[in-house]
Amino acid sequence: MIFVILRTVIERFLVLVAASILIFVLLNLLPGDPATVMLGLDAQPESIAALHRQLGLDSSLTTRYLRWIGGLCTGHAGSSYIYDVPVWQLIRERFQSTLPLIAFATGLSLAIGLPVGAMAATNRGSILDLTVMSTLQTLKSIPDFWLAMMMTLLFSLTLHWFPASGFPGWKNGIPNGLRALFLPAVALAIPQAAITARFMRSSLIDTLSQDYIRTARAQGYGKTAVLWRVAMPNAFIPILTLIGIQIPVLVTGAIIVESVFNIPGCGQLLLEAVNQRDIPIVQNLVMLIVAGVLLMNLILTAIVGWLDPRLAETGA
Amino acid sequence: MKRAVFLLVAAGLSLASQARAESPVPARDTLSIGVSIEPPGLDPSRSPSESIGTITYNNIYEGLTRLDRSGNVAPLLARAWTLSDDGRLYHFTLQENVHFHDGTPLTCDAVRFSLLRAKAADSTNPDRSVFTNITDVSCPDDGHADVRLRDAHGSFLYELAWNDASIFSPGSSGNNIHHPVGTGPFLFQEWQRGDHVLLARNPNYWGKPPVLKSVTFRFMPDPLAASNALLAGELDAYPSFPEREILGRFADAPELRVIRGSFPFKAILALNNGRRPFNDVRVRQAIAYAIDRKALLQAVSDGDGTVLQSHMAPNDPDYAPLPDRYPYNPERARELLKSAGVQPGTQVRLSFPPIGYARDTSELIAAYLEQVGIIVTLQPLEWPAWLSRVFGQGAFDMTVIAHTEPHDIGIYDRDTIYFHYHNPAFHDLFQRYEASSAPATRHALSVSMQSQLAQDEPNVFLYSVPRDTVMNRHIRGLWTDQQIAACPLADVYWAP
Repeated sequence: MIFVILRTVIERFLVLVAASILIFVLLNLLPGDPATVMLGLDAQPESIAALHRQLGLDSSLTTRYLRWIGGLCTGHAGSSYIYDVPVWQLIRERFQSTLPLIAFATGLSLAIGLPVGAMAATNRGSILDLTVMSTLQTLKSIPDFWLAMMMTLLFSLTLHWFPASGFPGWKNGIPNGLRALFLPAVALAIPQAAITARFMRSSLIDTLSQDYIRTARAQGYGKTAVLWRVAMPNAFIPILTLIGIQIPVLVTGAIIVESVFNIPGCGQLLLEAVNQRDIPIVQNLVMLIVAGVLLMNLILTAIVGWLDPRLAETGA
Repeated sequence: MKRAVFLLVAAGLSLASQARAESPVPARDTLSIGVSIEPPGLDPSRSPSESIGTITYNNIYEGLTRLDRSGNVAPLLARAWTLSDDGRLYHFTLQENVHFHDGTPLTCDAVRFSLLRAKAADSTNPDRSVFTNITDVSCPDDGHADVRLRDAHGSFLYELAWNDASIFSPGSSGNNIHHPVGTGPFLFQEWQRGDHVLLARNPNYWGKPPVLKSVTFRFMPDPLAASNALLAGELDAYPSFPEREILGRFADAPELRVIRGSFPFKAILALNNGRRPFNDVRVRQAIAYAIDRKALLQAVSDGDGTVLQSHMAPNDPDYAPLPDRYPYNPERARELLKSAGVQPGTQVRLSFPPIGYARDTSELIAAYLEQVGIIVTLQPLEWPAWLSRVFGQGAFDMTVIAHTEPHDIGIYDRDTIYFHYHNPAFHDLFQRYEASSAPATRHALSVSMQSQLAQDEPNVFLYSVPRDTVMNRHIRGLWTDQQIAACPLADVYWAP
């Protein structure tokens, strides 16, 4: 068991190292010099040289990579070139809207997807099933930015139920914060809810045809009891794996949706940082996302393994 | 008295309108303004970012001089000055009873500190070259400052009005990037990164107190999100609205109006004068003849704006309406190319940054040049890549770009400039212009420089387009013309 854990940890660690090299090399292959971006069209060569010295861009690639990794290991990620603010502070500020947004969207996608999928599975082949599944197919194909625009038109500009843009922060009250995140979360959640529902439907149909369901029925359990107490918990296990896949999708989706709703989150931070060649932000934020996804997968794998020991034995 | 009567009438009218209309307009003393880019810190002496100027110019920071709405130099922290006969010593008399937001009084020490800091060897001031001409700043007493220049420099007072020549408090200047401290009518309150900067009225302002109690600058990079916020009333104004295509959305909004103003926008097709075939003036002139600039302006902005003949925008006080030297004439273009030995089918690359006007203009220019036998490969570049390859290394054939700095004809005299233009005749004119401080002489020399550029055609001067400000129809006093990146708010108020 210890061996398995050790192997997993070493594997993930190697992935992180590989990711850090890839991120660093790609960022340095990109054309564009942070100093020219910062100093603009009127910049004089000597000002650019002075800025290079200040930012430490005059040292070699290897030195810069080692300095970055060394800093990361000691908890110092450096400061943003553009804002001259510690990277962790900027990222922490932005996570205050991005994390709740992603959690909200995940929650919504499950709250919509699971019951709908279960309903379609238990009424398999009926008109209800057909209608629901074709609607889902349509919803899945809607791009999130288009959905975001249409919802703003209807709910913000016509009905005035939700603000059209921005995020007031949590210090102005949790209800205001949730209200600002509602439309972006729905825009992110709906395509994912459609996928969740389809997954839930096939998973439940699969579970319902298992022998142990028939056994349970033979033991005298009612249809509802079998569904809720036996079938559902088993059908839910693949959904956990699906959540692990969906979270990175939601993170990338957040970049676009945050832009449409002008929400100051990590997505916008990353986009701006790439456009301005604010290398410390890009490399640390991407590393953090990679680490977050790896950790999330690790946790979900552990939960799945705990819920269904058969999977833990075969998979790793 | 008149004002009191007016207020009474206004109050009466507003009461009456409250009684009749369903949505009365309450007297407001706050304003929320949209800007497209979040500033990289709020210290103009460290970065040329336009959004720093928009937020801070004459709101937080003030300089010895200022530019007024029309671009003329006016006194500010210096209430008067004299200039020595050799044009090298400025004697400034400072405004009295001025305090920085950190409580320090304004004295000559702050002036000396600010100007010498800008010229220091490790300075990254965007206009450091202006300050390196200063040899010394001395303080005869607290209320006067003597600034000595190495060479006479007629634009000095104008350049002192720029944002990066603001006067800073020596004690707090190191932290201006996060917490700006100046002498202006507004105090910095908070900066929620990614969202907004909040300013509040300075109760101890030395000049006329501002009307607005607080102002929020909200960062709205996405034009569609900005238009939604304007329509929903979450934003009151958006100067320099970035997408003309979206302006139509405001046509049916009764509370909003779109105002067409001017700014020093000069779109050019920059040519690499250091590379064949563009090092031949005939080729550059041929390219100018080959492009129908009127049609270009029509396509880019429905004809709103001006076709340029030289590197100066019509809102510049020195602008000269020169005759059109290169009217659209593809036949003449082909002749010139032939005489310069440029074979039909010659391939060139046209690089452009990711901005709407640059993309549209580049595509049309490629089509025009193809008609005279030049095959153009379009190369879209991301902004940092454009800055580094084209602007930084000068590694390009042709590029479409708009220069929006005011009064920047001097870039044609730089030793290192990305389009590699060098002409001793222009250099001579520019040196005489810089040395002179007599307005009439300077204007005449400026016109000669504009003509010289039109003749040499180092770049093809394309067009200048207006600047669109979207704002609530009750706002008064906002700058809709832009001489420099600025949005001074001291005189802005809400009308009933």
